[in-house]
Amino acid sequence: MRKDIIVSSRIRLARNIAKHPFPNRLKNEEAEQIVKDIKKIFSEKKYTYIDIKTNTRLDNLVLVENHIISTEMLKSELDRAVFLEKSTQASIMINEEDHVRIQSIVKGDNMEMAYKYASSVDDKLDKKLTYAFNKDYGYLTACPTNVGTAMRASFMIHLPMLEVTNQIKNAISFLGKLGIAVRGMYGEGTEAKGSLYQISNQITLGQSEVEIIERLDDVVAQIINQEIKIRNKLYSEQKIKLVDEIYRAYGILTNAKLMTIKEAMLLLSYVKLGIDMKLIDKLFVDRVDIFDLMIKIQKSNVEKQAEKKLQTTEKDEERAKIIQSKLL
Amino acid sequence: MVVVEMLCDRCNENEASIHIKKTIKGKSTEIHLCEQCAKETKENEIINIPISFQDFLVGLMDLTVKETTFEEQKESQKAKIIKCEKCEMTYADFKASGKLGCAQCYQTFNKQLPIVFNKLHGHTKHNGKVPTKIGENIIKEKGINDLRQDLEKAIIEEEFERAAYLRDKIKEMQKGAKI
Repeated sequence: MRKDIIVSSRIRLARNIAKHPFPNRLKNEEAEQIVKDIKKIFSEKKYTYIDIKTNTRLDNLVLVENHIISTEMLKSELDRAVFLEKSTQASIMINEEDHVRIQSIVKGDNMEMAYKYASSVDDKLDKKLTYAFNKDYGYLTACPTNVGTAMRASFMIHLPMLEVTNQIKNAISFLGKLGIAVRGMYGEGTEAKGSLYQISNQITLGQSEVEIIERLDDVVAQIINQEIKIRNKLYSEQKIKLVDEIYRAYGILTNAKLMTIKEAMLLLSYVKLGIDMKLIDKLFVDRVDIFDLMIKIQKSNVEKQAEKKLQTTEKDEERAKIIQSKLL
Repeated sequence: MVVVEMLCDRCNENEASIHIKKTIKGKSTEIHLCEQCAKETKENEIINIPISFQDFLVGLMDLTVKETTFEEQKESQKAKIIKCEKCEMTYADFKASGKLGCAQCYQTFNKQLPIVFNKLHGHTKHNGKVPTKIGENIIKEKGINDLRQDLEKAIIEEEFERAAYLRDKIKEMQKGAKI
């Protein structure tokens, strides 16, 4: 069950180049130079280059929804770019809050792989650049919350039952005391939709990368155990109600003509629960990646797929169609 | 770590988990409530005002919290006007934005930052990955320091032959390390 509850594993490393001021004090000529310098390191054969400044707003928003770049990336006036490693899908953001932000997301429970990918990009850059590093404080970052390993490890996990029973609130406040942050599907300040939560380390100084990942892993294992406990209890005590709820969700998703993002996320979350608990007939949903679908139905993704600007109702109509093309 | 439990001002029974500090016309009052009482009273309205992460961070960096003695106050006043030579960031700028301006800032505010790090991370020393280029130097530097200690020992113990050997070895290593 653990492998279904963990949707993805993500590592983010922040790095800065010693000779330049951090992006918040950077002149645009220098920002341009950094992009140029890094372009030389990443060959076109292995990396896709995306210029955020000249990209259309819609394309940039799709990148945010697909977790390739952060919203912070869209706010800056500086020259910014993102490189995508074709083989691993690791993304390297240039001139976000720090000069370099390496991010690797791997599906499922696989933090080690995510770290391996991110760290290998880091090693590649390390050979050509002189990083801002201090032997006492580690990798130096614009924000002191990231200093040290400058690493954020984060599991995206699906917790519908902890949410329904309201236990998630207690878990969040408890985790805060342990230096573990809980955020929604789209990071800081976003509400958890589809019962998806990002659980990540807050502490970056004083612990090694391996220790950070191990600690996070222990905490996430505890949360998942709680989620499974409630699932099992519900299954043994009120199975028919649970199955009914899941099939209702499936029924609406496959028949409704208009689907708001809020409703879709809620119902898809039920269907995911049904698949993971093996409560829904495999014939209906075999090989459907619900998390992928959750991303495909986000606002900008819907507009991108329709290839035109849409009014709210049109968007809801398009969204219902996308869901049905996958589920039916 | 000592955890001091604070009881709710209203019911005096449960642990207070919500702490509100109001400043009206320069006059500050503090209220401590448990979750239940906070919900029941109007104070709840205040709690609903979202506190941004930046505000939270800026609060942590306020060194004035720790000021007690005159000396410490003087130190804190001095800190506010320290300015980074490279990027011209002052400590006051840092406090306002929550961000440092460049790698040099970490040297410039070397006295103040460990307090911030301790509050954020509970640590002040890095214990993780090291860049290869700099890493080699750090390893060499540590090696040199060890040799220096050996050298001092050799001199005290009047083992001059060994001291000469150590001195040459340190010189050799310093050349390679470019420290």
